[in-house]
Amino acid sequence: MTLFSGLSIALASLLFSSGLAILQSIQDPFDNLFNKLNASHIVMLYDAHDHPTSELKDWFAHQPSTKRVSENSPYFLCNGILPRKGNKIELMVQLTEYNEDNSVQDKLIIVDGDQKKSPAHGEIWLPKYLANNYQIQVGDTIDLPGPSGSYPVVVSATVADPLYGSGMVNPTRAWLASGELPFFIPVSQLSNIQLGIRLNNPDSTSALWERFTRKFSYTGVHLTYFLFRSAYMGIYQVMGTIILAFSIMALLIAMFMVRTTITRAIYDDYKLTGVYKALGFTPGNIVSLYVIQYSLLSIAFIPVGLVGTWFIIRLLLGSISQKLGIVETAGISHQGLYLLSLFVIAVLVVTTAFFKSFKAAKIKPVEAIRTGAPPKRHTSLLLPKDFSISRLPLPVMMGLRLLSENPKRSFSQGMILLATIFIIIFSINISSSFENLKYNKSAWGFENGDIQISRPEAIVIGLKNEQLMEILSKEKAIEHVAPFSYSSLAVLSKSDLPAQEIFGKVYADSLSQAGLLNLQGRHPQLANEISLCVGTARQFNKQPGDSINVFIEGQKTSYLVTGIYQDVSNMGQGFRLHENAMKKLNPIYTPSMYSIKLKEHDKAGTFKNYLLKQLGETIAIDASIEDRLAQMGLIDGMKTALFALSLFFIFIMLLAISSDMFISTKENEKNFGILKSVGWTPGQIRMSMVWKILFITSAALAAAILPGIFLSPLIMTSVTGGIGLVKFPFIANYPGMLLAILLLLIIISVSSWWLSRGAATANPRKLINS
Amino acid sequence: MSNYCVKTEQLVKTYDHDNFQHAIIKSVSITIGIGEFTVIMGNSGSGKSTLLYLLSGLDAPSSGKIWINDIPLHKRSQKELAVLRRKMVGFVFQDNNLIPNLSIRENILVAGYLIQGDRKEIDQYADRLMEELGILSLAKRYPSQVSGGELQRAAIARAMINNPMILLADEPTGSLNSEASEKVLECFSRLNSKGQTIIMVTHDLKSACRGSRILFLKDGTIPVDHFYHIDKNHPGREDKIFTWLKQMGW
Repeated sequence: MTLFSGLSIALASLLFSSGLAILQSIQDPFDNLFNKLNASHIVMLYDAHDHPTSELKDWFAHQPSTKRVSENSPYFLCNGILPRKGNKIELMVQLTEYNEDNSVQDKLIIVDGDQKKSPAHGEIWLPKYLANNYQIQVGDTIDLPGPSGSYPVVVSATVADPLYGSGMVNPTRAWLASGELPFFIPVSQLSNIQLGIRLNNPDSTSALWERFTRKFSYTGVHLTYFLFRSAYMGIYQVMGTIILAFSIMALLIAMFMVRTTITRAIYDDYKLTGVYKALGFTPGNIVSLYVIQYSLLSIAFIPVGLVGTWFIIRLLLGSISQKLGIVETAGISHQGLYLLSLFVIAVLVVTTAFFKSFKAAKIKPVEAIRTGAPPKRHTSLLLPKDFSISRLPLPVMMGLRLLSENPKRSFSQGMILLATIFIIIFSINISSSFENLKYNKSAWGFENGDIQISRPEAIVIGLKNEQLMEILSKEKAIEHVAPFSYSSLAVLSKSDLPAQEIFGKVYADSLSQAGLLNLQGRHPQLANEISLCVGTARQFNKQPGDSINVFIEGQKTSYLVTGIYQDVSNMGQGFRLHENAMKKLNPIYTPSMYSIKLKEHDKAGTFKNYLLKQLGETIAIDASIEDRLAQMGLIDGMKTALFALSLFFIFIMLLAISSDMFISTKENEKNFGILKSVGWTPGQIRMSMVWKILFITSAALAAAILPGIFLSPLIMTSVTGGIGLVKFPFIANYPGMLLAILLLLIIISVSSWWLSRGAATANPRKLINS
Repeated sequence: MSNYCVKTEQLVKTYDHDNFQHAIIKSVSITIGIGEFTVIMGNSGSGKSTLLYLLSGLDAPSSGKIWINDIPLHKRSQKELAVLRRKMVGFVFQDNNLIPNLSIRENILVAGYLIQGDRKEIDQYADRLMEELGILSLAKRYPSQVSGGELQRAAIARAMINNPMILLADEPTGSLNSEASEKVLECFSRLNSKGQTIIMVTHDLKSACRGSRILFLKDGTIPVDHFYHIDKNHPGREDKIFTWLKQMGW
């Protein structure tokens, strides 16, 4: 029994410290690598025709918060890179030239391949995650699509690139030799420039950008340290928070186990405690006996859990390493966290022991020495009160009696089962919600299309929006096409200065038709209307009906906020406009992206191939959000974490059942002998114990299912609120729950049957001795 | 249908103590007739209770054979023995061994319901038994709420609930005062007078006088001359039994 308490303490410490360690560990490896490689806190991507690079560089170089400005590198956005072995890369790739400046800022670490200063002519360096996801090896040849045909390059290295390594930033980045791009892209099309700014302190990013936008009418894209960091951290943050939340439950269970063990110990030592008191032990002395015992138990078992955490963190770092390419663990120390966990759990265990052992301190010595046991109360808490009233089989009735024999212990047992069932229901439904994202995109803030295509800009002879829409309108497999494009605007402060730049989408058609949803209000329709993502609305304290002043397309304008929506793709930041608003500012605006909803979702793969065959390089197929998440292993990672959490709780539950069976068998050893003597078979005696556990399980099931279904989305919402999901898109998986409950019932029945074998060996001969 | 109730042949029971085989019962061959009230006596450690447990099927012999009404008990599984026990054997312990968290009635029904049948009839029969044994008014009480003699009568009712072929009692009055003992023994006599076969282990002479035959167990065996037939009508039978027991080394 003490061992079971110890194990539950170890498990609680494992979950508690793992939750904390995950939350702490996820940022350190990223920051370490980021700093080691002198990565840019702001990456600017713009057209050199729109902005004079020297002017921008000069301005940033003179800002006190700037540490260094990189040399400008040309880049070309490329879609449909085709490895000679394997599948086409369905991601936009920013082919960037690697110049000498990269040995100072935005350095790379070569993970696989020869350690060279830069890629040679005809070579390409890919981020490690991209090579992993598409099984591309060093030495493989890949074809880069160019306006005049494909251009073969050899992968000479995979690299750790902290900015783009998460795979969550689209487009991603690959590196070519300096001067390589003009070999396959006409110089006239090479006007895109990448510029990096490294700051003394990342916290000054927003302030610097605000000053910059005040000075320049910047029309390009800028990506910041916080975006890159959140791309890594989002899912781990959710995982860490969930584990930490459930570690609280595990701690409560451990406290229950400690209380049960102490109660048992008090009963066992009842007479001895009386003798101690008769000898002159004070109540304080008695309490200290238990406190010392449980302090030692904590010291023995908490480190066991912490060792488990050490392994979990190694696994986590391994997973991050797969994405980043390398993990800088130097300087990451969990010693403080381990000490904190040890302290918190030890204090909880010892406090529980302290209060529970008061029961021993209150033992009356005369009564204890004379009777050796506390006065026994007969409880008729549960029916049937009389066997003759019931027509249930005997083992079932005896199971009920065993249940009511010790209501407190049965209640504790029920609470552990309830927690386990709750976690299982939570895990199944949350896993299912993530897994079914592709059928529920609208709720996550995406268009409900099955395929997303774009019209690449760098095509000499391309399709116009109207031409493409006409072609698509003739396809019978298509249910609806929602044309849109990305845009950005700067929200103006009260003094009409740009406060923050946010990215959003402009839709050429009805937003409802695109499957978009609002949390509040309605979609924008008119030229002066806008809807805001929940994070942006909160930040600027906007509600439907309010107005917001922005700087967009080089003009200051004011919009009426018509709705608030949630969108997980940009950490809660963003806006949506109707084409009417954009055309008012820019009459030649046309959408460049198309979300296509098919009549049959399952045929998306086939239709993608068909479209590529029909339209060739005039379109590019973008990776869907579900594909990108799947490639990153994020959904699998989340499912695995939830599965592991469920297994932890099932293990705790089995420990609790095992301890209950052990105590019940010991307490009823004589009764089972009596039953045997009157003709009960060993099987009937064991079944009565199994029934007891099944009754508790049934009660726990009844109590856990509805809270499991209704509280799970609320718990997830509290966890994901920070990343833009204020209403978690919950999908209940009823068949999954039913299957899991059936499996759990089988596990409980089989394990309790197996654990009850001690009851079958009760020897009636002992009745003579008694 | 056999003409005996219980029969044993070369019955041996040994226990292993620190790798030493210690024989408690050494070759016991006895036959108990139907309706007999057999009393087993012997000195402390002679194996009286062990023999009783072997006869009931609660313990298995190391060698030898046992039959109850022609049904062999040896070489049977635990489950088969349990089923045989519930149908053919009733057992009364020295310490009543009632289950403390079941009422008196439930303690009886916990054995009664093991037999397939109409539960209403079983309930009625339990009530009748309790009435006969004078404990019906205690039916809803828990064992801790009634006296020792009443508990022992409840234990007899539990043993009798399935109309067993044989009622075994292991020193049923051993922990009772004389008044309570008398009431319990009266119950046994009444049951025997109705044809119930009883085997009772006792070290009490007064209890032994209730039987029809005494088997004296000595060092795990019952020699041929260790049987004594009691003439219930003989007024000085108690003295005669006492003299015989002294001869046996009691």
